[in-house]
Amino acid sequence: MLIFGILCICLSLDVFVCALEQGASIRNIRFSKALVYGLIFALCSSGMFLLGHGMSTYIFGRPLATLNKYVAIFVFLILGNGMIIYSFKRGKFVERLQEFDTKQIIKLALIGGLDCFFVGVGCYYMNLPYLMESLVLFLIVLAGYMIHFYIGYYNGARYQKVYYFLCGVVYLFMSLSLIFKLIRL
Amino acid sequence: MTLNEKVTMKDLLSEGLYILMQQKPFEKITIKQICDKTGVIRGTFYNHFMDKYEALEYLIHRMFYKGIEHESNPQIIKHIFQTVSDDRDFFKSCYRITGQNGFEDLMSNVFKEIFRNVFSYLDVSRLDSRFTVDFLVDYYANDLLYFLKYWISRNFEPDVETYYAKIDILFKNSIKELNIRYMDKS
Repeated sequence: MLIFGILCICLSLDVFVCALEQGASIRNIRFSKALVYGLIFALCSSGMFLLGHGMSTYIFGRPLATLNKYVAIFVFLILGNGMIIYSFKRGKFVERLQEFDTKQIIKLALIGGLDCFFVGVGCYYMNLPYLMESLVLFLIVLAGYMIHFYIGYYNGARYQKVYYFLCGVVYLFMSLSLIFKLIRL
Repeated sequence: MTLNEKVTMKDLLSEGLYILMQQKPFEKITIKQICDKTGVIRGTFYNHFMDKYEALEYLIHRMFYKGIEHESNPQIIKHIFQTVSDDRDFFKSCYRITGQNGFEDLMSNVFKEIFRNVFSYLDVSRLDSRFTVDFLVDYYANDLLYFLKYWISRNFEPDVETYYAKIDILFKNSIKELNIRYMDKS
């Protein structure tokens, strides 16, 4: 259950960064705009998660079932390292006026959902309740996006590097916990 | 009426930026801080500027034209040196802004606009056909940028009058007219 919760928040952190930066780049804030953008991000994140899970179930799953936890360890290890490196290498965000259209938001949401896809692949091998996970993910992303969108508008975009670093640390922690579990077994 | 008499929201926002730049480095200034200083919301800032760099460009442009009656006045170049000399710390901190939106690029844009205005005041109808006004604007803007940087790096030595007099000679004369001749080394 703990892993379930941590994973949901972790998957949403990069969306929160997007929301902060988008909020800091818009001229006017409206609830409807925040809701629509949030829905797009939430749908893409949970959709990508389900897609990853589905692919590992129906394409890679059965023939590779013996690999189970190795795939999950590999996915979390790569994502964790990637996020930590990115948190250091990421350039400073410059607050600049931007006009977003729906097409652009969908594109950003799909890019942001890539980690959800890979975690979805890893999740199959961890035997987590994927439907519940994707539903909770949807709700957290939607609520978190809207809150961060408002924070970004009123307070500016800050702490993005901390978000990515935290996300990377949690992924690494998850991969290490799986490794220890495997060794103990 | 001088150019600075009509105070607009743009002026207020750039003033806010100016005050903040006295307190902290430009990189650390956020749009929220500028808005708080001016008492407006983010939307108002974005109605006038794309980002803080554009606000800084406007601020410098405004400082250079303060007290100048016409945008095309050739005396503007001396006025630029005087303004920089009067606000040394501010311009020194400006030169620390580097990178993609560095201060030199910003100043280059300001100077190009200034020279474009100056050239609009001059009669260029008999200009050598090999040169265009745009080419000359680029040339003089980059010259001025270098002179200013050099002067700041020399800690504003010599004084404005002496330094401007030198630059004025260089701007107004070609190499031939400066009594520079080829030396016969044999």
